[in-house]
Amino acid sequence: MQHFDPGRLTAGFLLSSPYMNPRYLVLAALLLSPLLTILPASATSAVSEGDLVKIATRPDLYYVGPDMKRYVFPNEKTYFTWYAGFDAKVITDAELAALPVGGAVTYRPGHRMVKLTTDPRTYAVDANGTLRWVETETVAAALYGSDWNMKIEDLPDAFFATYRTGASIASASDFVPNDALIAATSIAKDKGLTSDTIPPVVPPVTVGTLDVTVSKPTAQAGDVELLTASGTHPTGVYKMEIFFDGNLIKTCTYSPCAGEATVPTSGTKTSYEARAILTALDASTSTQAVTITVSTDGSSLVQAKPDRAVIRTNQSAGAVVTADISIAVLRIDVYVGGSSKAACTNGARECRWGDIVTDPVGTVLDVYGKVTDTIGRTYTSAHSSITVSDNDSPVVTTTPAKPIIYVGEGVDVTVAGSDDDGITKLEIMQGDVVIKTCESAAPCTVTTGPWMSTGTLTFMGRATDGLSLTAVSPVATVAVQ
Amino acid sequence: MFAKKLTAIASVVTTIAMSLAPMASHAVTTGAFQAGDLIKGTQFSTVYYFGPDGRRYVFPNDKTYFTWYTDFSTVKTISDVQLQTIPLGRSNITYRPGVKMVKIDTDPKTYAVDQGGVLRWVKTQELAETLFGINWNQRIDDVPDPFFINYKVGTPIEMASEYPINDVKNATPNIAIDKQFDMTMVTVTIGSATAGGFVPASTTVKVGSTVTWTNADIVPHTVTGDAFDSGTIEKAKTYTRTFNTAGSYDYHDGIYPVMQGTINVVQ
Repeated sequence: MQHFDPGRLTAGFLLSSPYMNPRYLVLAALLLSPLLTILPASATSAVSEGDLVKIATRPDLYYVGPDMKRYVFPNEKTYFTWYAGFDAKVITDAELAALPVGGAVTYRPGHRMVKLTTDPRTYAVDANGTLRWVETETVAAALYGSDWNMKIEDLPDAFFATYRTGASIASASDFVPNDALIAATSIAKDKGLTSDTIPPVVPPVTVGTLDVTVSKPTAQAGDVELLTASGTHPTGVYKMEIFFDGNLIKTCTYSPCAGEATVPTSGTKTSYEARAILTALDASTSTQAVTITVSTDGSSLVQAKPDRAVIRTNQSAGAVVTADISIAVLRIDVYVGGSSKAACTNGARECRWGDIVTDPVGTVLDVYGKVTDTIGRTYTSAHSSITVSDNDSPVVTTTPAKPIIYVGEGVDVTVAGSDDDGITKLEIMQGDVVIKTCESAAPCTVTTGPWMSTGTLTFMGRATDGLSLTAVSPVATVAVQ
Repeated sequence: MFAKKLTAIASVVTTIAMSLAPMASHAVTTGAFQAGDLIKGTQFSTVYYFGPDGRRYVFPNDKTYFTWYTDFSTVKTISDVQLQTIPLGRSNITYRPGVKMVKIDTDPKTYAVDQGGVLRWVKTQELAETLFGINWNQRIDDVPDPFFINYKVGTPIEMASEYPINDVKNATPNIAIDKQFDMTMVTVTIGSATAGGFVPASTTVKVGSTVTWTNADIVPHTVTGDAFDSGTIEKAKTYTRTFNTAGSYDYHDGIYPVMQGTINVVQ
């Protein structure tokens, strides 16, 4: 049924519409006059959202959105994916001019496939005018049936700009035309339009979810982080963006989305932000962020090793601080008893402290190392200690004959020890296992091998002094190539 | 209301877009063209602007085209399979700023065009005469409703000083500036070996430009030259290289060697 405004009705209105069959026009014109006196006054031409409107002098129909803007149908085919008839409200020129043009109506999703004139690809239409390339005929048949090539309509090139492109459809599971069709209950819903003059009455709807995780919540400079964002939204995920330190590193049209970023080695930031932004099909966005803390606690990169863990008063003590090769060393400090007792600024990877310790028996001296690199970052080793006791611990060294051997070779390892109370036992260990014991003070040697696979061998020595105090040497490594 | 002659709106918009016909015929090139060129295929006469993003931009009608170009003498013809490999632009070409005013039938306002397809309402007849001259009402074009959405409505013009028309026109001498394209970031589309191949097959860029190859096919491809090798480029992925030295760089697809291309780098 047409809505008639009796004041404006003219035969011209019916005749100028291209959508009307001429035969019907004649019949309608004959019927109209008597009907006018019988029908009550028809509805006013006040425009409301969801209306189809037109003016008397032109055939074009427009859709009125909840934002009170009018949306253009680029061609009849687009119109017929949404409506079967021509039920439109006739409004005045002024009323139409008062509705600004909001955009173009796109094909209703799931209804038909479209093909652009100069592009051989066939596209399925998803929500909000999203064109998704149907990659093969097999997929087209799976989605639309064996007569799929009867369900393709031409879309002029010039209207491509009113659509957007989404992820292509490589298999039938990527897209369900019927779901898309059911979801598009109106043009306003398909476009995600809301009224911006009256706050919409929002029905209780479950909000989407969004999670962002990083592979290393605490990282060091130069580490590669894998940032993963995953989220859902009732209307569907349109886009996921991942940002590291404010820079966009990855955009995906699906969830989950993952991207890599490297924690910078320059700069003085102590934390970086990993953020994800999810844009849903209804154009709403949600965001989630997580902080990556930059750690300069280099306990694995800096080692502090006292020569002897236990000494006597008035004995010489020493400690070596070693920095890992990955640090660009500017300065190394050896801290003993809370203050820096030795500093090396020659850029070497090692710094040694040595002194006579005169503290009384029972004193425990805290020992650690601090390395400053060329960009001002500091790395602190784990803490060690030197204890002043009645009995000092032995000094032990482990020395392999060769630092590098080849597959098939063996290597000799020698452990030596010294102590004021005399050495009673020396042991050679590979890893945690004792492989040789010498019950004397003379250096202890063992022949190991042959070693048949590449890798690193670790050896350690243990000495026991005359008062049964033991000490272990630093680890010595041999590379097998 | 501005008085102007009514123009009948063509009911089938497709015929508007396809009525562009070059005056002279062009020899089919071997696929050599670059960002900023006008291109057309062989089956249809529609002319497109080829952007640095590797997309072809549509002129909604010939009136839009003629605000930018005086004739079709610079249009290059390429094969239909090459044209089809090039994706369409995400926006259409809009009127060149400072040339004409535009209006839509269902809105009494007359608009001047600013850079980037921004429409600015010319509020009074006196203002229109100041800006566009004594024949201002013959310098208004109708824009069909469906193409009106290619434009954005900006701030109205209250005084002539807000729209110095000659400066506006000279400030946008070509489409690249109107759309704010970066012409040093150029795209080559990788089509299938049996259809378009690399499009454009041969293109010229300036020293320091960056070329991005985009795989628009559903199978992997590679971009392999003497000085570079992309490795496998999967579907929808890209490979990028900056060319800092002048010269001619031939390349081919390592998986489908029949596909070949050249990047010409000039100063």
